[in-house]
Amino acid sequence: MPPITPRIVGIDDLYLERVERARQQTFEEGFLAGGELFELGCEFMAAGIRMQFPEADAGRVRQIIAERLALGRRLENRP
Amino acid sequence: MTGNEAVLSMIDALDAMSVPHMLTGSYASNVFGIARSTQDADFVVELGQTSLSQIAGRLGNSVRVDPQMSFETITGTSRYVIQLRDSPFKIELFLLSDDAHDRERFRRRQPGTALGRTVWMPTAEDVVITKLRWSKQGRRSKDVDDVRNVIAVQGDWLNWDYIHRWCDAHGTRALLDEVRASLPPL
Repeated sequence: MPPITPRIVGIDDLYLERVERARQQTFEEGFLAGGELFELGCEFMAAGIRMQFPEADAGRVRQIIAERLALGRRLENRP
Repeated sequence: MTGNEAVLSMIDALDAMSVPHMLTGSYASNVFGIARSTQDADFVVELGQTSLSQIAGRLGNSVRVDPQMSFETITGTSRYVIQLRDSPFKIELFLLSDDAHDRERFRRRQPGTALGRTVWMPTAEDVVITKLRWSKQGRRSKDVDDVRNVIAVQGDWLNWDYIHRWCDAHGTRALLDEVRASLPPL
């Protein structure tokens, strides 16, 4: 078995891989990606909130998610 | 209803009422650049005689329409916000303004196809120009990242004469040059 030679990957290489993948995507894949990633992010956030606040019902979890997203928007829009 | 389902419902509603429209913002930069999560969808619409309540009526009870119109200061554009009832996702409707570039990018919009629908979007050049203009004031890092990614992915396909002309007019040429200089060799 040939020895495994580690490949040194820099930040630019990783970025170029993402660029190449994006070039292969279809219009429909690009169209759907943002919403799907958001849904997935909300599911992860909800799981974390339920772990942190086991007593929170579904409505309270949605409320905390909304608060965190609003906080994120405020941070993003800060000059 | 998910965000994507809401976007598709909005496209269906606008088509049914023959309202010219295009999907802009992060949905457009996701198509032309590197996709990222987005919690809102921005439409530019030419409402004509159609009212917001007529559009809302077609979307049903899954959404809540904020009847208060807000004003976006960079292009002088009016905006309505439509919030999904069971999701933090929202749709923003920007009325087509008299701003020269707003009208030009709307005139140049192009169709794509997703889930059997025609989806109108600005060109990649107009995504770059608009996001640079937006980031000039707020300088949101994600807008600058979107511009960088669209330029990287589109490469030589971009019409640089067109981009330079509008960036010069908007005072964003230095920012454009800075973004391009930050790219690794492609």
